[in-house]
Amino acid sequence: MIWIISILLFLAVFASLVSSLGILLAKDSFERLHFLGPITLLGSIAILLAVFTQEGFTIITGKTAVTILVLLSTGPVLTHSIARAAVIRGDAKRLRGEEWEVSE
Amino acid sequence: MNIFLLTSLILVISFIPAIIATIRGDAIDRLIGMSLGGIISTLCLITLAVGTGRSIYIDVALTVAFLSFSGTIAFARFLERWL
Repeated sequence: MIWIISILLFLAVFASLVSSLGILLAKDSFERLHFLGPITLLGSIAILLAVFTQEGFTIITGKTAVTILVLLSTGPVLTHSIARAAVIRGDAKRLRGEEWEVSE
Repeated sequence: MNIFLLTSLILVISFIPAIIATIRGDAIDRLIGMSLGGIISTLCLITLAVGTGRSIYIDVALTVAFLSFSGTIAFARFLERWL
């Protein structure tokens, strides 16, 4: 049983490190936005399965499931909102022209 | 040391590149770093609560998840306009 928990937690830690280093090393804002995916999907589901394997059907698993459900449902909304803000800012910067680039 | 506490420690270590991405770059890049920090802190609080065996601490993680979502939405909404 401890090996299953170890593998799941290793997956979560790996997804977290990939997300952090990817955000640090990506070039663009839109490339950087892709790296919110691994920790939101893989990391949270792996931690939920690890907690379920450790605890079983208890109140800890229920609260963890609610928290992971909040993370999973708000992740795409956050990504879309940030990408929309980035597009609007890029369009405004392009419409202003190059002579306004200093005042940004 | 419990394995959940070890996971929590490594999640804290992976918090450092998010902080570095937050303190430099454009405003959108800083917002992405802050959003990643909210997700990492939520998972870290969950593993800390399971590792110490206190179920009351998961409420803190749930609160952090909700507040990080609403804060990031508010920042993204205000970054759509130019001041």
